[in-house]
Amino acid sequence: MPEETKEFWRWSEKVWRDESIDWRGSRAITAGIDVGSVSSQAVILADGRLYAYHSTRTGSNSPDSARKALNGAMAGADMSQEDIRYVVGTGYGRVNVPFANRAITEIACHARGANYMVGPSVKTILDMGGQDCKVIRCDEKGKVQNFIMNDKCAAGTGRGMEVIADALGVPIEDIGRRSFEIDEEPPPVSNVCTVFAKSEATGLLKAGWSVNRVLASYCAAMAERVSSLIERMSVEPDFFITGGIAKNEGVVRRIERIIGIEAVRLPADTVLDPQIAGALGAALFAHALLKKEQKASAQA
Amino acid sequence: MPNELGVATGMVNVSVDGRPVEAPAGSSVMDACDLARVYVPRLCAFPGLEPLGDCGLCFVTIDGAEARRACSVQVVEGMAVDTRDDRARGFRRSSMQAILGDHPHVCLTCPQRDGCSRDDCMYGNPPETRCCGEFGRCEIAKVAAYVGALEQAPAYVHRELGVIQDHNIRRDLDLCIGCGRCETACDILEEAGSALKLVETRTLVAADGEVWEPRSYLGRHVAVPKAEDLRASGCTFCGACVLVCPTGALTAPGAKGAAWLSKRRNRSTLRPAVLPPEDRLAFTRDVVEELPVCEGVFRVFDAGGAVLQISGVMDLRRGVSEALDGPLAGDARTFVFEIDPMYTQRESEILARHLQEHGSLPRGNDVLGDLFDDEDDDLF
Repeated sequence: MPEETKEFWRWSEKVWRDESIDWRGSRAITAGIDVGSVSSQAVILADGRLYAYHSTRTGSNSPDSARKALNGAMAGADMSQEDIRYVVGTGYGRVNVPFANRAITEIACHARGANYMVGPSVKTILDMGGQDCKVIRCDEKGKVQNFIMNDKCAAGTGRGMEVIADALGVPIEDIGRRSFEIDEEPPPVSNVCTVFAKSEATGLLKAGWSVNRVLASYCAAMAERVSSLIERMSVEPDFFITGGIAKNEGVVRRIERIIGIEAVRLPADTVLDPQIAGALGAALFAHALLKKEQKASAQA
Repeated sequence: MPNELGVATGMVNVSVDGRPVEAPAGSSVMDACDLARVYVPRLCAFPGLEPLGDCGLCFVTIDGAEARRACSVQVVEGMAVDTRDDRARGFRRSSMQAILGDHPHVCLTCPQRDGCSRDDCMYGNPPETRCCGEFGRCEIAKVAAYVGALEQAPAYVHRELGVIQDHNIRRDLDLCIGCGRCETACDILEEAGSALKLVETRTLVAADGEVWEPRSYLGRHVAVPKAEDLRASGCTFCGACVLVCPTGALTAPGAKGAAWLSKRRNRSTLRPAVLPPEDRLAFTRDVVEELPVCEGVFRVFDAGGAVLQISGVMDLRRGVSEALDGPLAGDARTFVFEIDPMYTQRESEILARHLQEHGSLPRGNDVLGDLFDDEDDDLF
């Protein structure tokens, strides 16, 4: 029997549903689907309130990933696609959501989603995605005022963190905690290139570094890289981080240390997940677009 | 026609690339090309300013004979100017390559140039060889792209001449190509104070064992204030030098600088710069129907050249034709497109750059505005 290989990079796919809501009693079911380079999320709203979401890995085919995410969110609710009255697609694969009524850029959706999660006080959003990161400035309504993104290089993004998890055999959820279990903060790795991450990490291990020290060094390098992007935009609090890396305290706390501003944390008992910000924003836009359509047809 | 004093008066008829044009007697071939709306590259010439004539970018062929500099030949009745001749274009390329040898330029030919964060360089190019903060906006990059063959430009050798924040104006001497526009503008404009002069670059290069040699003819000089700083040189801070500078050598940095410069621009007696044309296509059904069926990004412009919409689409032909039937169709006149399989990312890159430059989204992209108003849910 072949030995089972453990996939350390594999982050837990998440399904959540508000059991207190009977969606059949609501008038408007809308959905937002964020097809990212590494992960895909679907969020379902019932009358504009968060009802269910699902976060899954993006496969090689964007339409399938979108369908998988939505099916996951609907699972167990006895809901079918026909029950959803408006779908907005977002993320890099947004144009590839075959059942979407409309596509909206992830920049607009992350700002809208962050605004819903944190409230009108959020002004600066760092979206740390699977293969890129963006700094977004928005107003109190969550409307984008300005944004910048990193270059095409995926260095120091979510995918890089997955590669490191695998190379070091550390489950990805443990990286943040373990990166602080060190005697002294090491210098950041010189090269955060995703392609060379594995050989860089094994090289450091061979040179006698502990696994935790390598993790700390990698988190620090990643934080340094995005901090220079953030500083170009000039951060205005509240500052909120979205995307998968938002859940990695090893990177988040090092970013805070560099820029000298604390990021907003969601309450410990929250049902929200910073990784769904884009899909949540898309679902909120879907709700608003459906309302607009209704209004137009009511007036006609 | 010469008058009784032998001074040319009236108008002469010439042709530029076969287009007939009437130019005032005594004007240069370059003026005639500008009148004919045929672009001839230039870095030292600027409308209304006497050019140094040394950049070597404005070569054209006159009456089928040898290539000449358009800025330094006067129009003659019946003259036929050809701006597209291969020989003239070859001369322009060698001149441009030499100029780039004296000016940082690696970013201009970088495959990552459009999406670059400009923080770290993934190719490890040292900061002093990379393009400056004016990247994507400066005239030299536009002219260089138009002239072409940038890959063969020699590597830039950093001269370490220094950066000086001189009141409102930031002077980065290493970016100066010695075109002389600022000095001329400062001398002849009524609002200016004749505060600048050209000095030999070599006198400023730190003597570090090696003897520094300019690559281009222009590179022999850089522009500096006549006295220790601008104010002491009689500068009126009219902003003309910043407005004519084709590089990032003279800039007004920051939000404060930008506000100051925009005020100066409104009051300036300078004529607008002549820039390379963008290859824009007519926003019409017949052109759109010829577009490739593949992923890409398109930008739509109005009659004044302002961007109306930036969109990444899976199918360019379908995407642009939908825009043709969309709400902007009334104002849209031209468009450009580029093929890119990563079209959603490319769209974000172009939008980000647009936001940096204009501070707001193009009209066609700012369509979510009315979705942010909190309304009651009574409609459902």
